[in-house]
Amino acid sequence: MSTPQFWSTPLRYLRWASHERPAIFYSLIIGSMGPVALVGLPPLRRALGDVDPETIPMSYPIPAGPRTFPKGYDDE
Amino acid sequence: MGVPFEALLPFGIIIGSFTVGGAGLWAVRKWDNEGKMPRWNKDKWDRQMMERDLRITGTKRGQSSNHEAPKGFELSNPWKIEKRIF
Amino acid sequence: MSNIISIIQGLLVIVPALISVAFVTISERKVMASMQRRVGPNAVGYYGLLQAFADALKLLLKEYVAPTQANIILFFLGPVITLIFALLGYLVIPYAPGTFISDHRLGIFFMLAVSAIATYGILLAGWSANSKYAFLGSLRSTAQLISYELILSSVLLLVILLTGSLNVITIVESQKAVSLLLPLLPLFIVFFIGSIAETNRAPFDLAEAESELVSGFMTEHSASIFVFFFLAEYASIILICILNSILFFGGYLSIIVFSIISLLDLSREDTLFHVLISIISSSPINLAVKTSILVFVFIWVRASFPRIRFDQLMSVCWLVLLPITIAYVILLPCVVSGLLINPVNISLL
Repeated sequence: MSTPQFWSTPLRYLRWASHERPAIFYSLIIGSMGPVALVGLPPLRRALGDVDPETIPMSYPIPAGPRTFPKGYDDE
Repeated sequence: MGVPFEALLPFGIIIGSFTVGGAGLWAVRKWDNEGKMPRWNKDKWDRQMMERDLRITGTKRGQSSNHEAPKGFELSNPWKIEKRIF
Repeated sequence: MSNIISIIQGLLVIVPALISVAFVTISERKVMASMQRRVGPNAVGYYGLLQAFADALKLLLKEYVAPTQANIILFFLGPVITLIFALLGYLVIPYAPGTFISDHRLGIFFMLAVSAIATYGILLAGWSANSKYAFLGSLRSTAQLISYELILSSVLLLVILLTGSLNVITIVESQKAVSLLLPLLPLFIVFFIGSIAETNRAPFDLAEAESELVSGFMTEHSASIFVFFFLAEYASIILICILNSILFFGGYLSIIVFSIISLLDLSREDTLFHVLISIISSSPINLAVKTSILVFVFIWVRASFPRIRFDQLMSVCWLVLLPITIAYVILLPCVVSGLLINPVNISLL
């Protein structure tokens, strides 16, 4: 039996690859689970009741009251 | 038939020697650190604070809650100006 | 005074390491003998326990022969480099919390770098002997070591990702809840195979096929400089077993004792029993037991598997172990960020 081609018979090729090149085949599967997990896991996590933490503040909050800017100290 | 006991005797000696060595190292480290456990994963801030504590209390791991620095503290700073290369 | 303390600390690490190197050789011979239904060495000392010292004495008393055309300086420097850098790895090993010689914040990188430099000793020794066999042996050995180091460092990367620190003690302490063997079991298998190959052990001992060929890069080395290579080889075996147990089995922590503490809710009591159990829960004996079990598995592997061909050795590394490792290098960060798992320690600068 000759090596099946991927483009003409993809399923047969996958079966052949899983038998003959198991390490690379299953590595590709495990590796491609990564981006899927990146997209699929957060909705699953929220559906199971996990709440996203608040974003970490990157600066101080602007105070609410009126702000006075000092004048007269600059070079005019 | 499994592995006979006489093949496992060297493993006992390995375990014993590592245990004795590790316990000895633990004792020496603890004695060197004045009875406290040695600190680990110190970053630059930790090292600076430990050095300041050394200057305040005079011992390696001593700490002081006194808010007045002792006399001579302001002069014992070992920081030196960097030497000019050229 | 501090110099004396440093010397004592160094001796307390080096002497047990060298004693256990001697007894690893004897245990290897005894265990392999019992697996092959032989008696093994049993003449020197009780149950042949002093056989290693007799061998060392024989080697030290032998006349050494250096090839006439050899580069004598490099010829003697090679074994010394290999031994020193194999022993330098013990510098950052924690035996208990706070019990170490040197507390590098980048301890794991230090271990990796030191074991990489030890390759130079092999290269120098093989080249300087001015012999075809030694040279070819050193090239093979170096190719093998460099290839498998890639796998070890990639697996290390994932451990660092999960623990969030490069410090060895921090990696151990972050396994208090669960040892990294559980989340990283496939990577532990890869790492273990890689560490067998990294120490030039059977079934990957192509460079020095002890049982058939002359011994690879150390063909021309005899007598006392051969002892250096011998010590370096077994010191690196113990070191890499310690590294395995630190990364995946929780080092000096005893998971069983921790679970007893949490089951019996002993954490608040202050009796002698509690003090005793808290000492046992993180003490050097745990590390020693885990390391000995791994050394036993090394010997077991050597007694069980036939040696593979050199092209098989390389293709196992590049076409089997490396794809698996890279797949996990892609998968694990995605899972970590998808589940918002924080690393245990956020101390990476």
